[in-house]
Amino acid sequence: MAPSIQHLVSLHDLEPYGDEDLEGAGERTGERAASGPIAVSEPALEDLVFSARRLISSVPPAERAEERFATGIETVDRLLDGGIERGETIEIVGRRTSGRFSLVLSALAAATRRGEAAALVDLGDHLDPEAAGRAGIVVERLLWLRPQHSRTALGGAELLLAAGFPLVVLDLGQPPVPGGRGVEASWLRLQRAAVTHRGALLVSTPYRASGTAAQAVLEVDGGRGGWLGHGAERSPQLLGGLAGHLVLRKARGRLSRSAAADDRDAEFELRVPETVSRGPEGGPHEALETTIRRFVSSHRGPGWSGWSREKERSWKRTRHGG
Amino acid sequence: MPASRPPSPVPPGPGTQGPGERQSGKQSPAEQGPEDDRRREKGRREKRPVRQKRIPRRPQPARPPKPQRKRRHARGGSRIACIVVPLFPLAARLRCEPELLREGVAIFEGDGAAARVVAATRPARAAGVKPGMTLTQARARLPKLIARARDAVCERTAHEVLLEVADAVSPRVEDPGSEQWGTAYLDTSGLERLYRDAGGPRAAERALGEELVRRLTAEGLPARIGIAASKLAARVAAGLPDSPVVVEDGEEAEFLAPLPLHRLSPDAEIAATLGRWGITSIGELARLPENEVASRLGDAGRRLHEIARGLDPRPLIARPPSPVFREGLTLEWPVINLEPFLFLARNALDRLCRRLEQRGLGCKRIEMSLHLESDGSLAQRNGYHQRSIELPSPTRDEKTLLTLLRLDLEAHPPGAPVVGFQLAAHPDAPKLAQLSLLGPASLSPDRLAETLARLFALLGPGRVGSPRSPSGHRPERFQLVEYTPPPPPKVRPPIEPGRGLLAVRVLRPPVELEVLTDGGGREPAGAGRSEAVGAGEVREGYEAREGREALEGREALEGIASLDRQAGIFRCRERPSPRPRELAPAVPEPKGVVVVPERKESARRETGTTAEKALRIQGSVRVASGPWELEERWWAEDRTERDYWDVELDDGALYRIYRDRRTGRWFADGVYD
Repeated sequence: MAPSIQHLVSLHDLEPYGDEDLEGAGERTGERAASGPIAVSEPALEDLVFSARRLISSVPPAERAEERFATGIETVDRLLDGGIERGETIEIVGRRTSGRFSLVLSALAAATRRGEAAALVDLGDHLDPEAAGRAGIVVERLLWLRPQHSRTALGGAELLLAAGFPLVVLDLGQPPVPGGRGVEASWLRLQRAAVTHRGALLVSTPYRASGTAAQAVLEVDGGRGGWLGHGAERSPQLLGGLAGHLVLRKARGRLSRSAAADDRDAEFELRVPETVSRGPEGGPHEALETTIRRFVSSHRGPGWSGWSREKERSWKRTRHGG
Repeated sequence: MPASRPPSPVPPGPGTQGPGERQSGKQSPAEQGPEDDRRREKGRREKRPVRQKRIPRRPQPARPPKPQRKRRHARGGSRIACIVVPLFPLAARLRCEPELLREGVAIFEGDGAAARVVAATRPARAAGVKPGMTLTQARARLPKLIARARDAVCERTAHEVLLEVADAVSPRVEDPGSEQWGTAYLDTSGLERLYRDAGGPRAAERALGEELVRRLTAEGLPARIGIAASKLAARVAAGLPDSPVVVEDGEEAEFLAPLPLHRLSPDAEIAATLGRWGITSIGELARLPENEVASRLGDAGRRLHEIARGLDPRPLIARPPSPVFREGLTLEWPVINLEPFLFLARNALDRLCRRLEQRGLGCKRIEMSLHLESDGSLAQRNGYHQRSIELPSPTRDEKTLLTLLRLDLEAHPPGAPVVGFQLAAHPDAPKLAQLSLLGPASLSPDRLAETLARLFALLGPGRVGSPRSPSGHRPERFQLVEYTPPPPPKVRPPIEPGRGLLAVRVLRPPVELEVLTDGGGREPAGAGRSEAVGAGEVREGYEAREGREALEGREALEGIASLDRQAGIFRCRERPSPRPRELAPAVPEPKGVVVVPERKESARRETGTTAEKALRIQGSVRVASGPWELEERWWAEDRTERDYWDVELDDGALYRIYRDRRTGRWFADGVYD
């Protein structure tokens, strides 16, 4: 098994620079104090940092998992070969009820839970902080921008990338985008900012907006709502979730190499929070789910009017580990 | 030990007195006791002829001052530096308007014919403009003279700058008060050790003085420095050319002796008397016997004599550091447009940011006070336009602050021409963070602060921050707090699989809809009888068709309702009731949804985006799930009572819509996405 990055740095790089070496570095430049803390000159410190950097860069990219931001949804990550890499611009396109906002929140949740700072430029002002917390986002690490115009949204995203935010999500909201899609030059500027400052940029738009700037474009091909319940006239139903079909429309750079020609689409599923249990022991929501199942079985209808029987069974399997 | 060291032992700091010196200090009053008595006796004998003649005569010169006096002074070992900005009103004005440096400028005080020149620049002085002239006289000598009135705001800020520069050099700084703007005293005891390379304590003090001059010149204030053991000697030394002037400890009297008497700035009456006596230098005054002078000139004369002998017992009184940084300017003519004002404000901000930088602080809140021109009416007289801008994070980025001022003034114009302004920056310490090598990289606090301020300027207030959910149940509620991310973990945690939850895009504000319900026809604006009847019919039919199965379903739904109440989510309103028609008027089920046309217009007006189309929600309902009841603040006037439905339209879009039970109107407040 390949050693992790922490392991390599601690064992092979920092060890030779023990106390003796630090002292030596101080002596070489004649900066060593008579007693007390060891004074290391700036060139010596630069040497140390440079060697640490060299070591980190010598680790193959596949090992550098921290360089990528996974979205947390398996099928999407598979399409993106592990997630969004730093310096990349990925665009997700989808019409209303496509599930792209959920994907965006999922990516933010994955990043903030790993301790990274992240920013959401929310042009439509659509974020519900409580739902964000439920989706797993560590809201203390999330910077939320509520611009009113696409121009200020693009400008804000550029500032955030320049400030060193490792993940910036730009959501253009619902179809009448205030200010339109913006000029292509500003998208290219944004992409250059992502490359220069090594930040990952995830753009979520109702229609293709970034032009040639994005490395990859994922398009959600119609999301369908899944309903729990009878579906017959007058019978109550419950919204259970959403299923969507994701297509990799454009891939450049590493994604064009890694994505196989026939592996450019994937299915994904999202569930309504109230129907998902939160812990292994269950809780109020586990009980709720039982109730829903009883309710569904009592109606003897197809459980998921939007989904196939097969899908429902697979969902139940994953839910209950069977 | 360098050769320039004085022969008398100078202790390096106030706390390191030699035992011998302390002893001499104790002895000196005992020695002086009988001698003073003798002098008093002599003074009493000589008083009579003075009273008879009523004109004080010049006393006979006494023996030179005693060496004990010198030692008494050398005892403390404290060193005091005095900074004096010559022609301070002029220097303060030129600091705010540096483009006038090479022009013939005069600062005047008073109005109209009473206007007198206070100070003038070198070109003006070369043309014959002198302090005390009337403005007309000055203009007669130099027609191109640029005249500026004394500006209290300018002088106050320049004085604050002076004190801040002194603060940057010494831990103890005295502010002599508003009477002596342009002067500051510093305690420099022990500071000479910081300039060891200079070679000797005297050279070190000279180097310290040079640094002070350099720093003040960088701030636009030409200054002179004097360093001595007493405040007075330092003040006189600072008045001399060839700055900085250092006076050796214990040699104050020798230093002062050759200087003309007016350096001590005596009272006019005493100065006239001394002039009649033929005394022109400080040394001549010092040589006169103290008692004789005191008997002729009174207490003021005695004090002057003491001063002339280099004795100044006043200690240095350190001031507390200032909590606010101010910059401002009184304008010569009123400014009407924003651009010229911002040009002036930019210079002031530049100075302000440099001052903050010197102290290692950032600006957390900036207060702008604009002095407005009076239009004669009582309401407008001495009008001030006060604005306060809170920053999300301390910053000293001048561009950002200027943009904030611009945005604020554009949003809240003062309404009258501006004749003066003052900017006050409330400082805060910038945030610090420890960077880590192995964990996720944290953001640089400086850059983050600057970016937050720039975002604040770009998007306006209330649009940048960290999201929080205040208590309540309405889905559109939110709260923005200051973004202060916690430090990242030391080691990267492993990647966890996501939860894959369906999120809702909240529509703020909710989009009003026109909904066709089962009740038949369009839903009336108010909750009426027709609705209840319609729903009742639906219910009846439903029960008849479904029978027992439906009842089971309802029980199940009731289970959901109670559980949801625990979880704090929506409550299901539908529950079995013995008399449904009367007690539980059901909510009409939505059948088709269209946006109310008037709403589009109002939305346009609110957002100001006339060219934009409003969000279009239209179609027939394929599936509807609900109603889910939401109640908030039932005790208040502005309570919320809503019945929520999840609906799927024929185009596949999923909406969360609700009917306001108080008004009967329908709204969409979310899109499942």
